[in-house]
Amino acid sequence: MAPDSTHKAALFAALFAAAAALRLLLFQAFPLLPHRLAGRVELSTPVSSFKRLQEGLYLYTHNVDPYHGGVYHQAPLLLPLFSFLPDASSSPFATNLLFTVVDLLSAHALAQIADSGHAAATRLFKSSRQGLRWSSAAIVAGFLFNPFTLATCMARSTTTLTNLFILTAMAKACQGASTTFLLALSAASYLAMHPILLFPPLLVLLYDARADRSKTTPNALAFTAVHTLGLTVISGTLLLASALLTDSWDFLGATYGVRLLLPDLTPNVGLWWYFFTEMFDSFRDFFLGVFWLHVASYTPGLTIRLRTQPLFVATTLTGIFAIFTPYPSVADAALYLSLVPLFRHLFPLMRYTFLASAAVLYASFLGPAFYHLWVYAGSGNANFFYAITLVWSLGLSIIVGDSLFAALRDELDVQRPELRDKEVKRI
Amino acid sequence: MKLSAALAPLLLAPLAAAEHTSNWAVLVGTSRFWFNYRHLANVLSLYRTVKRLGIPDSQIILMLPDDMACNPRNAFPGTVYNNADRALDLYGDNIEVDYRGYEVTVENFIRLMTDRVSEDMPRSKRLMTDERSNILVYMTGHGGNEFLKFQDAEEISAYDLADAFGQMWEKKRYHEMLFMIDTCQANTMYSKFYSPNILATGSSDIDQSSYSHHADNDVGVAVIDRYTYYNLEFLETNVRDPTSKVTMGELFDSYNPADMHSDPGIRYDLFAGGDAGARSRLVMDFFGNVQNVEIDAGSGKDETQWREELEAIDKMILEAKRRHNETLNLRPQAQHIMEEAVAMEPQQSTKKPGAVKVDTESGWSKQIVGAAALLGFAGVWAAGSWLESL
Amino acid sequence: MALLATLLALRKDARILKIPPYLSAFLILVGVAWLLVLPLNEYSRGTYVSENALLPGQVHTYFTGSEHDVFRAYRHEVAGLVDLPVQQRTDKLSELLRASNLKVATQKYTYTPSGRNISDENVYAILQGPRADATEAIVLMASLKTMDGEHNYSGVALVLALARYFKRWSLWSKDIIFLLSGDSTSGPQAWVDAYHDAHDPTTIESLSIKSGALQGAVGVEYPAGPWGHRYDKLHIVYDGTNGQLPNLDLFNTAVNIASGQMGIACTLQRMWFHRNSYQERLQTMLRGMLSQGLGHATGPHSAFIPYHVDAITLVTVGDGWHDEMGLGRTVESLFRSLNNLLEHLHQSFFFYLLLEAKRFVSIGTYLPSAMLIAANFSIMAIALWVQSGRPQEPIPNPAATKPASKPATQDASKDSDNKEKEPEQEDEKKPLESPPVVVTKDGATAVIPAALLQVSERPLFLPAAFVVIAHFLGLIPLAAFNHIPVDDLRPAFLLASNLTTLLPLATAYLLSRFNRPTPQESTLIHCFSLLFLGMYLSALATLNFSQSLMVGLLTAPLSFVRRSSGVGAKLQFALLAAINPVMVVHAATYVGKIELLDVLVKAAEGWHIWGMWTQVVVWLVWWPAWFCGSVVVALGLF
Repeated sequence: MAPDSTHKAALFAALFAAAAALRLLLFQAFPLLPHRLAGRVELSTPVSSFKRLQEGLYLYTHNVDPYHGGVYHQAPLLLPLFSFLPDASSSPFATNLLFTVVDLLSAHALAQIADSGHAAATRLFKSSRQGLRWSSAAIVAGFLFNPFTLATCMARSTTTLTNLFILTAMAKACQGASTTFLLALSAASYLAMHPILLFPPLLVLLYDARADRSKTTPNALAFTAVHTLGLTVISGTLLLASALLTDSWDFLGATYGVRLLLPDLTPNVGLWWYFFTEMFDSFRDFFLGVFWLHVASYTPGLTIRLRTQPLFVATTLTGIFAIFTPYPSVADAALYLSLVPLFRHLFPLMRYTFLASAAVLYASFLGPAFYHLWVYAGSGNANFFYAITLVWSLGLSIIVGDSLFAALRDELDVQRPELRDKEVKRI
Repeated sequence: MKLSAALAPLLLAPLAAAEHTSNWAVLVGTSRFWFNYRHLANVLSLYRTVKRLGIPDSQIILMLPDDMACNPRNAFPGTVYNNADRALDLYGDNIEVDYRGYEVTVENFIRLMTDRVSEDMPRSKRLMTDERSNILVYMTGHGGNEFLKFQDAEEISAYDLADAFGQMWEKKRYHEMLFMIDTCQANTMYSKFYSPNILATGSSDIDQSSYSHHADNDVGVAVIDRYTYYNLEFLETNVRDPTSKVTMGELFDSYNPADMHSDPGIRYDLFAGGDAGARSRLVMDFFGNVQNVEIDAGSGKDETQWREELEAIDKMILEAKRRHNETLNLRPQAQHIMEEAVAMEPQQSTKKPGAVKVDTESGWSKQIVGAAALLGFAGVWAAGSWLESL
Repeated sequence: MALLATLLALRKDARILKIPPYLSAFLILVGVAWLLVLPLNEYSRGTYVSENALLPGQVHTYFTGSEHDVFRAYRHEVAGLVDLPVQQRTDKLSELLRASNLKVATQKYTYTPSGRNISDENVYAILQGPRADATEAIVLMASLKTMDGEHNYSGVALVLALARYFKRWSLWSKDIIFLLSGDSTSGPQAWVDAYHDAHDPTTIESLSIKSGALQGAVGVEYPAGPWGHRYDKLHIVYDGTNGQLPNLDLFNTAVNIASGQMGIACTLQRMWFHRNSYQERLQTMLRGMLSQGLGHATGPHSAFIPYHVDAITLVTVGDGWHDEMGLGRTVESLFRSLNNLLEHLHQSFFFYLLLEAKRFVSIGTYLPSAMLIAANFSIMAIALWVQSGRPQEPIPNPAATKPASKPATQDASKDSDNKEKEPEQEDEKKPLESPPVVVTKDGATAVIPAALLQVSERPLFLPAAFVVIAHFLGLIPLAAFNHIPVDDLRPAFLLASNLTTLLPLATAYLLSRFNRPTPQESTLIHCFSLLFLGMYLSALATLNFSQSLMVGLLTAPLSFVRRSSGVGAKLQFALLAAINPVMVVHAATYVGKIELLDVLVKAAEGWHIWGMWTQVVVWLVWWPAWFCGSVVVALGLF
């Protein structure tokens, strides 16, 4: 066992070193690249753009309310964090290092999730194919060297921080570590709001992990109550600290308000912006409600239906976020696509992998091309780009839908082994 | 009225015309931009004609969406011509534009026609007609089947127009109306009218374009449309003075589709007396300003009364002048300004909202709060993980 | 869902795999045939000016009479200064422009592509529209050297004369910038880069005076000496860098004014004699596509188009009776039209193929041909993917009376060969002969061999890694050819020809020695490379249709090669060696009678100065696809 674990540690060290070296090398070799990428609408949304962060930071360090001017829509506590670093425009190394470290920490959390084995075998459910899995090193490599992750890191989008906290929350939930789980999930929700929707499935996961560890089942109601209270207290503290920092509660409207009400219709890879540019004002509020309700409705539905596989529910929800939230970016898709390989045992049951990956691949090349035609060459228009974001979302939703189908099929195989390998139809 | 209309051909023309007591003209161009020079020239030509025939500026509503005279592309700054010979500057120095630029909208037009305007709307921007007013409505711009574009931004449909006129009739805002329109598929625009006493004419049939007459190669654009050009030609040559007895029928008969490159249309059926009634109307009933004053014979006011009133007004004016001069003498001008400055001062001293001192020195307290929050989070995290590892 | 389910059921059918190659070939044929019918009247359209504001040819032009003497004087001045050192020439030109009461500035620039030194100086002057708001500007330019390397005496003199003449008009609604550039491509490029602050200030001087947003640019090339030369036609050059085109309205306006108002015939794509026959239309179109596909700069206007500034160059050609004043009046009228613009040209087409001066094909009509060719790769990629998922074992014929107790032997020895060496990929062991599966559906029962229902696991890592590495490998020649000095370019190219031909063989040999890819893996390599190619080409088709089509046609054989052994493999490899991108470039220079070195030098210049992407497409799209295909074929040789 010991040589095996040292071998593994060495492998991880090599992986992390390679990933860090690659990132720093890219930062160093192409000093203009981060700036270029930060300007791409695919990577930087109004709520995650590094350029906007710098704008907010400038106002913050000059004693002006960072939310004045309506450019900065990110969480207030990011400001002191980045204000302690040297100015990113003149000496970017520290910032670059921070984003590299964030990626490595995310990878570390992902490795912990993979090692926990909760993907294929939980307390209440053992997949019939649980032997089929990739090593955590392979999954981590898939995350660290994924071009989408790399691009997000290079663009220094603050979604990387959100992703770090989401992955950490998942990892801590897998380990049954309540306090840090609550801290991580509060931080993720504090940064991006929608991760709060991950609370139900991750709470189930935490409960399972705890029950596994202590071999006794805690009282479910008390458990839920205590953790909900914990989450509320930590989130409240974070918000209070933010209010103290900015001297007012106005930041709520400028951060979460923007995410909820979509005042900034800068194009992104999601489905909302185009829809709301075309929307009649009188129906705007109604459709905002409908769209948000749609996003939120997946959480209870999936958690209840697949309560035995909470990690899969959480993963699928990150996929849903990457498609249906108001300001999604490639970073959100990168998180989802990095989590999907945890479910290697479902791959044989998935049927449209080629179609979906081809759609995602095509979209990731045609998207920038069409955006160029629209914005720079002036020979195309917004419809070109929107068509491609539709293809992108289609690709992702095929993966989400197909993996859901595979998970249900896998469950069926466990419940009724005699049906294994038979054709089924989704009704 | 029915009777008089039916009898019109038999009676003398002045008797029929005697039914209206004022003339108004609403002249609307609906397109902007340099290449639509001709539309503004059309409107200004009509404006000039109705003024020539006696309608005063106070009874002309002129809507011009753009200012060609001051366009930098205009090789002859300050002028607008409707002919390549450039003999007549339509812009001249005697022109009153009532609705200009972006004020020319469908909403403003309909509000003008139906008089649904706010109380503070200046009189020059209102159409103050009554049931004894004859109105000439002339429109030109880019149009299509049952619509006319306003400024490349919106359209008025034939139904909107018909309803507006319908409402005008209900509100007794006109006696008779001549509606002229020069645009592509113009005849569709009056096809939906339903209120009585409207005589309508348009430049082109459905699916027909309305063409420009000629271009001025120094100005570099077409300067007038064919329909308007031939209407003007007729009016210039045949209706020389306000006493002219030329009838609308003669004007309509002068329309030659071969000249206009389109089929001008005329709609008589709404008019009292139909075809014959409309055709016998004088051109001057719509283009001129024939003041048929009806004397209210029953009034008992005698001459001395209004003389006395005039004298009283004179006295009031003198008194007002005296008071004004006195105040001028009492307060030298400098002091006056001083006082104003004093009055201004407290206003300036009030703090403007939003302006904040920008300075690089970051507040220490804020930095401490930020650091404390971040460190506190990290500390709680460390403590949490330590507790968990126990 | 039902449709998908049906399609899914269909993919189990063995016959379905037979179709794609034919379908692919059919698509390519249709794509090519599509191109050939485009010149017909039914598929092309007459050009028309679609922007209302332009009003081409509606003004009298007054650039005649005494202006002619002014022009001749300028021409003598220009003839006197072309051979002067740059500094003196600049001073003289500045002085001439300043004498016309214009604001004048200069800009020095230096480029060093392939170790050469291109440095010169631009002179430009701004005429402020007397009643304009200085938010927009149009550019009139002439370079001292034409594209063909001649002195552009009359062109420069014409710009000077027009600058003096335009200054006297009060009707400009935009500023007019007169640009006299040192050479015909780098000069305007340096200037327009600096105008948009997209330049490298260390080698290219920033502009000291600027005006508003550029709305259009017109270049003039009239290489007639101090004693003049009467020309026959105007050659309108419109291709921008990377195959981007100016708005068709600008071209139409120029043609409309030149031929309609001035009576000067217009020609394009070096078709000096165009009788409007099918052959000539086709030839014009193909020349246009070639020029667009190469993505090179074709004149001083090319640099403007990537900045969304519509631009053309007017070049005088032939011997005829039109004089310089005709050209001057054409430009005058063209500028009056541009002056009328209210916004960017946007009404008309940005994507078109011209057949002659007054006939074009729009994107909707021609795009399908490139898309069909790109689609052929995607279809083959899908087919290969499905094929790679098929079980390796032969499927027993359920209808056969003879029990299929032993595997069929006809399927070559290599299959069984591989099976011995290949370790079981998955832990689930497959029985050699799969038991039949009973399927009950809608009351009907069928017995199907399990092999038909199984989708075997695909080893994805090696193929994916191989294809990705192949793409990265392309970076080496890309970097090399853009940085090798001129003297070494030719040897480097010859070396590259040899290396690229041998590389697939060497790779295949090494792969088969150390890794022994299974047929499934080589199919997947092929599949991924075609998938990537299809993806790149369809994205490229939207940016540069002609380039996508050219690369698509040249790589079309890659869809049909297969890993085989013996003579088949050798033949296929020989075919592929002939369509090696390096070889194709070689052959093209031979056929086109162009000096190879010129091509290489221009390519490096394009990369460094013009921002040309053609090399990227060649080395990172075309070459990797060719390489992967060749390795797949070469694997059969070992």
